[in-house]
Amino acid sequence: MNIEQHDEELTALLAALPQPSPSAELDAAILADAQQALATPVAVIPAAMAANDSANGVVRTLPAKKKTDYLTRWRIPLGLAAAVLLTFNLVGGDFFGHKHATYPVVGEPLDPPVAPSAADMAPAPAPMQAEAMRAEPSVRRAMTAPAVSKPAPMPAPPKLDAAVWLVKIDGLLKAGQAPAAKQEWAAFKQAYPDYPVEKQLQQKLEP
Amino acid sequence: MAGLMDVRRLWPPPASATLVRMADTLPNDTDEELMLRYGGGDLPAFRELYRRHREGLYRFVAWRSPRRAWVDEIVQDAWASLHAARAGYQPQAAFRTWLYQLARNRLIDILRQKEALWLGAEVAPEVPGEAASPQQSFEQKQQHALLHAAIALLPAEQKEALVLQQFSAMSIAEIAVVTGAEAETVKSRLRYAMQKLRAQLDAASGKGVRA
Repeated sequence: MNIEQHDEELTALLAALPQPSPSAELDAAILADAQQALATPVAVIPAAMAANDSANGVVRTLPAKKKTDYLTRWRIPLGLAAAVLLTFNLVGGDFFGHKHATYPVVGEPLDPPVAPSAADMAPAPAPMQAEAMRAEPSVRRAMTAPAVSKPAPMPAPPKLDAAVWLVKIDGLLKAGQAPAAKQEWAAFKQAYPDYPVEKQLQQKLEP
Repeated sequence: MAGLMDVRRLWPPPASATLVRMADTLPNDTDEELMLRYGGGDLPAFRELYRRHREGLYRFVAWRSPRRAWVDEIVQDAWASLHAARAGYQPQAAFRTWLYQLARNRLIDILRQKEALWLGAEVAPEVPGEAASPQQSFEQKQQHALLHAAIALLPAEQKEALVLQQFSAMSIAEIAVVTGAEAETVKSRLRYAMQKLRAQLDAASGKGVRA
């Protein structure tokens, strides 16, 4: 048996092979796709391009890509420039080696700082430290925090309640301690200049 | 495959009956004329085109696909590519080679997507249409299985050329267009494919005699 005869026999065997065929469901699906495709308009695709689009694996059914406009083209460079400017403004002084700008702090005197004296540098007396430790946390913070600004001088708080103070002064008079009573009175008058005092007591203290 | 169940509701009569009715309406038009009409919105023209090429295209994909379960999806995608490209069709390209090119490209794309699923497995595809011939004799079935296994062992390019020639009835010139190869290359692939099939069959029959 030569090759040609053998090929004919082989071709006959191949032709006799059972072949697959599409199912009725697949037929229906493909025809439905066609019907749906006719209902929706599509962009014109060159036949050669559609038949040879294996490079990206997608048939080009999308509309042609729009030409990029001016803003789109410059979007990235403009964004980079804006980022550089913003970064320079925020950290540029430090990062690029510029001298620190000196801004006055609110509450701080504009005069150059004076070197502290030995008295200022001396530690506080022990009783004062103990008192500070017992004080409120906010007070402790205020005492331990560095002095950023000097507060305005406030009047010394009254030592005693006015009524209590007058009782004390009256007691000193009755005890025969007139000088001490008058010292207390003078202090009282500074602390409570407008406080109403009995005329009898006032006459004893202010002859 | 997407939408098959929905489509059943859309198309209650059997599709084959529909196709038979359509066959009587446009028998004398060429494929290219039908495609131009379909591009203009003529659905019956598409039905006639589908009736003419449904078998051959399906065979081509079925013999090339490593998995039987993927064939319907690939075929439907191929026809969907035709729908998408219908408006741009130019009749200077023969319709059949253009259609097979679409299917071939879709096949390559889908196989590339599913590459992880079938690479390494190297499982021979199921015998196409084997279930459709229950009355075959045992000897015939054995011979078909042997031939099928021999085809499956062919290199992809040789198998493709053989399938297009033997199962889709394409000429060498048409195969060259579909596969993008020279006609001489196609001839060479076909010659090698037939030689290998002969060798496989001879080896099998020799074993059978010895057994």
